[in-house]
Amino acid sequence: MHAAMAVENLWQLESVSLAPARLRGITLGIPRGVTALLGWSGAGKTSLLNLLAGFENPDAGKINGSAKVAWVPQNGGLWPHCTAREHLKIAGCADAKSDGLLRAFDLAEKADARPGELSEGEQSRLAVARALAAESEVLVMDEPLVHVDPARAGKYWRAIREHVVATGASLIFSTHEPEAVLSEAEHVICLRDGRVLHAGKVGELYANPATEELMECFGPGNWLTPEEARLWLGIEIAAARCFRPEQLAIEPCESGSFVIESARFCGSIAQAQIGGRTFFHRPAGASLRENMSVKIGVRA
Amino acid sequence: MSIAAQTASALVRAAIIGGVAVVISGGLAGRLGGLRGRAKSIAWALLLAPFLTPSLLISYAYSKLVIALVASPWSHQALYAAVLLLKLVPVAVIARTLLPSPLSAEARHAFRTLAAPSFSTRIRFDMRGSGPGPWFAGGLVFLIAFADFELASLWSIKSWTVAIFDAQTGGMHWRESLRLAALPLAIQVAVLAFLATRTRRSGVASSRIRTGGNTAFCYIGVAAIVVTALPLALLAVQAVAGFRVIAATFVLTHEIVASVLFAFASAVIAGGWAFRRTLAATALPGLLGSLVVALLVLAIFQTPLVRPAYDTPLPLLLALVIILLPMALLLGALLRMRQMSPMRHIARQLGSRKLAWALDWQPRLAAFGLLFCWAYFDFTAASILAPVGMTPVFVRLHNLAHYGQTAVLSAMMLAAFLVPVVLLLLTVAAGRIYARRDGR
Repeated sequence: MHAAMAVENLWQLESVSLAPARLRGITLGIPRGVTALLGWSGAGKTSLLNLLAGFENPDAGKINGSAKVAWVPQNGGLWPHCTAREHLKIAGCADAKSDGLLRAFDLAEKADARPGELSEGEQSRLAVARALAAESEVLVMDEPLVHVDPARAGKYWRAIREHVVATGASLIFSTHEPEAVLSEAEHVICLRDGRVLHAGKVGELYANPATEELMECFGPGNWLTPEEARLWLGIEIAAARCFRPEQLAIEPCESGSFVIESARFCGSIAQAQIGGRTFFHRPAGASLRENMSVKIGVRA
Repeated sequence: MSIAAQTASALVRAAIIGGVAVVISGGLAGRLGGLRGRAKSIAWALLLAPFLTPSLLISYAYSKLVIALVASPWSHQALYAAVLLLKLVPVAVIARTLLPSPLSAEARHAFRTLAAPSFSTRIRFDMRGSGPGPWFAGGLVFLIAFADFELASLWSIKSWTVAIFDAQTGGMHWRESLRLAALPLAIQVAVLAFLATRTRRSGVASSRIRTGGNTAFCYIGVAAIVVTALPLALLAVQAVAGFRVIAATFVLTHEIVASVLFAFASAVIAGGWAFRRTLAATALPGLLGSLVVALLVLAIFQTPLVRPAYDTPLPLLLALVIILLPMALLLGALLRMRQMSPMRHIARQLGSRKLAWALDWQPRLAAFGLLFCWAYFDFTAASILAPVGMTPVFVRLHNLAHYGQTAVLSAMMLAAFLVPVVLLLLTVAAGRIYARRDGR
């Protein structure tokens, strides 16, 4: 059983703990491919990645797996006395490839700058570019691109994705952004208080989380018990489950049974306060107003 | 052995001690940087204990061992170098704490995992990335080890400092003494000039490295036991029988009062200057060592303009202030690191006496206490510059220590050693009572 898992997994963790209470007896297989770590601050994401990168050693338990890892630590771990180009060169990158990576991460003009002369966003990008330059079998990234402006982050994620596809490398990264997990990862591991809440496919966790807490790993959602589903949605469900914002339709209706107490339009999702409960839904626009009669339904 | 040969011997010895101190201090500074709260205070107290233990106490306690080793010059030298190293490693740790490596622990790990494992690449990387910390640590330790006089004198080690001191006290003119000191002085100035060039090369952002394992704590424990605890214990055991005698006829009161007065005045002046300023140049003369400083001050007070002040407390006071300034500036830098914390700023705004004591007064008192002890334990400058009728206690004890160990001398030495400790404890107790009476 373990031998088979070792073939499939990059790492197999057996009862791994890290003091003081940063990780508590984690037993977990980390598969090949792209895996995201999700969890609130203090959940143990950085601690787990530090172990996988070999930066820290577990206080108890053991970790099987010895892939060559390129690591992007949370603070970048840049070398203050080296220029951006030297970072890539030391990581084993030929000049031509360095130029390509520097261009891909919009650092070509800063090739001769040292970390102290770069902005935080540029430092984040350089740390990622250095990891890609190392051509390792596994990339371990702790909140990569965290200081990069969201409008341009997609471009750099694409560069990472292309590298992973081209080299066949595996990637494990931590993030607070559900969008990055949904768009980049195949597997997800949710942590809380140093324990694994869930490990599995991203799609499964998004569509069918087992608990309300797991639902919240991917941002706002509506957790309804069978009684609540009957009351609010007029449908029968076998057990409590999650309804994502795009699955709910709250529409103005003269004969609707519910009245909006307050409504907030937040862009891709909206919040509506009805009967003392907050619903998250995908709006057509900022059309809901206070005291408006509405009906709540489930989208097909 | 000529002065040149003795200088060369001291140079080699100091270079080895400086190099080893750099290696040891890297792990220690990293480990101590990761500590918090009471564990941090205890570790720092144990680390600093060897540095603050007077050479006289160490040499007196181990004098029988040293006499046994005199026949074997290599063992004799090795013991001296080892004790000097244990005493000076704390200086290197302080330097590396104040000037941490610009490479974060993560950056070092990233280098190990990403870069080609060629030895030359690693050496080049480390040399470029180490920052000024190791150079300053090694340089300071070198300077102090090179200029050591007290331990060398008491253990009969051949050194240029001992030769010049013996010549000076033997009646040689101060001009001739300074001429003999020209070569060692040139070496010291060259090292200081080199350190100045390393300062200009620094300026990269720094972050603390939290590395090292329990080996660091083992080292701190062993050093504190060998250099501080064991000599103190030996002294205390021998002193038991002598206390009855000195209680009946205590002959050191005058000397202890003189020591306390000189130490208090010099600590106030040096601390008052250095705790508010960062002018590193004022530390340079003090780094030449007590002996050279004392000879230079002696030379100054032989000039016609200030000759009338020669037989007053002024020359010794000036020498002590100059000797204290390097440490005062280091402590001032440490205090300023604390001053920048938002925690301290908020405590000031709240006006709480308790918080002010814990965050403000107590660290300043600790810094002042270190300077006070450093001046109180001085022997070299005092033996050359003390005015008639104001001989500090350690000059008297040093002269008596040449006659070997006796119960009475052990008791006198322990009493002299405990005076600043008791004074500081009483001051701390008074401060705590004052702070608690505020109620918040």
